[in-house]
Amino acid sequence: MLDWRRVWAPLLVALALAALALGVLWHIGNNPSLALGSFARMGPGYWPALLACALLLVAAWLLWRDRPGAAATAARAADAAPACGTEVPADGHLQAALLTLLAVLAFALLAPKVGVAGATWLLALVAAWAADPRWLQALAVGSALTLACLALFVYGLQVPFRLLPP
Amino acid sequence: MSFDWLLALAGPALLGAGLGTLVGVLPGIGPAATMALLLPASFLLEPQAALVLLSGVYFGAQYGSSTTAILLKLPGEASGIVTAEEGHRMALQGRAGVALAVAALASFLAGLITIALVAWLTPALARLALGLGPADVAALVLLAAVALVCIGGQQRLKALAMLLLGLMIGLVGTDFGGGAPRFTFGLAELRDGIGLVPLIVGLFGLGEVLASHAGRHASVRIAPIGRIWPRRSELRASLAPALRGTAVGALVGMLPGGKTLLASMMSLALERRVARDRDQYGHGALSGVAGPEAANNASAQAGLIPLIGLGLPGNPAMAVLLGAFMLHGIAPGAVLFARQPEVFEAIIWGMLLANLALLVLNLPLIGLWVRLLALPLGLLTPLIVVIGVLGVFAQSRLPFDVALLALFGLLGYVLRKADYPLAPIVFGAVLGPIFEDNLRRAFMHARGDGLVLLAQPLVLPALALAALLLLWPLLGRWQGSDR
Repeated sequence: MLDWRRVWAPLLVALALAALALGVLWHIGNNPSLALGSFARMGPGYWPALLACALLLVAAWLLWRDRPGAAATAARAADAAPACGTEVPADGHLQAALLTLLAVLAFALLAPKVGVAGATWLLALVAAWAADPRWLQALAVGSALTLACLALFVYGLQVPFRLLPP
Repeated sequence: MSFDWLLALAGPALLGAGLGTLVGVLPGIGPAATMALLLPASFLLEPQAALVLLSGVYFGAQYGSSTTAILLKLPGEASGIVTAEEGHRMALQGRAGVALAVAALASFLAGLITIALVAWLTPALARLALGLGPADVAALVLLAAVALVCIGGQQRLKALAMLLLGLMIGLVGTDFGGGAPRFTFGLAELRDGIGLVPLIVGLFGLGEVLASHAGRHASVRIAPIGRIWPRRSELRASLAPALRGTAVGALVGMLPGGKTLLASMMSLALERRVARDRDQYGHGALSGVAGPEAANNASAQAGLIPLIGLGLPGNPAMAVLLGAFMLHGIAPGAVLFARQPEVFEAIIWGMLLANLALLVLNLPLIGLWVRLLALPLGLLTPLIVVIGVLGVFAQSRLPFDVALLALFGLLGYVLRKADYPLAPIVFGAVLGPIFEDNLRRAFMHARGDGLVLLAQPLVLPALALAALLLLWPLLGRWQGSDR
């Protein structure tokens, strides 16, 4: 697990950044509205293209520096202490996080269709279950959380949510 | 300024201080995340009250982190790690109460001095910035960006990558030069750019909390507190370290990229060398609590000077606060002092009130916060998720923004797991458009002539300083390989 976090996760992020930079460059190249212009008169595509090139360079550098087998990478993998700059230990579980984020996405899809009350209940239920997978407790916590948060937003903060289905 | 006006600020200051202490005590959720979660709700407040609330959270977290650092050696916020060193040793000797009281009093003293400094220096800085042209502004933003990246230490390259990612996020929207849509992919929701609220709440609120907490149960053992009020001799011994810590903290806090952790570390290093009780280090030295605690509070509050004076944030929490300024339609810098001087006045008084509230919250009520640690922390995640989602949805009423929130939550989760810093993303997304606008105008005015640009008052010094910051580590390595 430590190995995954310290060696593979940073590499995957670097790879994704490189892909993003290439995608942006491709988009600029295929989009006549994003003209580059010149140094003195920068077009709408100039600064984005500059950024994408820089990001590509940095991502390539990161991929090379952190390649598996490099001395620095091995040292980091062996080093159990949190890297500088991390403020709290990052040891949340992937499944729980993904499930919670899916519930957030579901809220975005459901809120306009079934109203905020139903969407919030589902969100709270799934988030509570992801935090502690015991059904009865999740049901109680999720329902209580829904009531409390909706009361806070609708009555406390006076936000005009449409609670029920249209 | 009237009594009613002050009273209207007292509520947000107290609420912010209380929430800040709470998240400072609870491990796993930091001040930036809390400020992010409060961002949407702060729309319902007056801009002054909202800014006081958010800064109160930040200051409160600095006080609160000392509590768990001393009692558990488990700080809720980064800078507490330094206090934990000597403070927890004091707790193990049964002197936890004294350590807690000295930490709170040192923080309070540092707070008072730094507020005066903020009130005095910020308007001067903003006045200086008044005569700056687009080239100067672009150079200053560049300097701040370089400082933010360089302060990352081992993570310099990762911070740079994150800065570039943030700048790219800032690209989405309408090009202000010609009005052409950029990277909107035909989506009407993206025409005004990616919302700052889903970005900040997603990265710091959801992402951070999920990365550190999802599905995890914490259980803790707490040291007994014992006598709280320090003896007069203990107070006298803490005064000089606290003052030295304040000086170090205020200096570090004003620098772009200045981190509270760095301030505490520098203060501890200083105390180890000059404090009268330096032979006690390793056995619970009082100066090792007073100095770093004063330093982290001073640096947190001094971070407001470049933020309000120039619009340049030095750390994640300040980046979120800059987002709050922008969202409330307040431009930090000279414009603020010209058009809305009452906002700055309110922030100063709010800081004072927050510090007073924090002294009360952290001295007589300390036992209350400690008891909170016995709560099931696993239930924190669903609460934060629901509040985050409802907050974002309440702010724009767009389901699209909630989907963005999920996306940035995932991004924040992955990046935290991979040890990438998140603050440069917000910095890039907020300041990127400002930088591009000024850069393009500068080059247009100079007709592409670099020499004309270099002749602007701040361009050369700012660029030279940025180059120095960039080359410093290389210089060190070169000297190291020489030996």
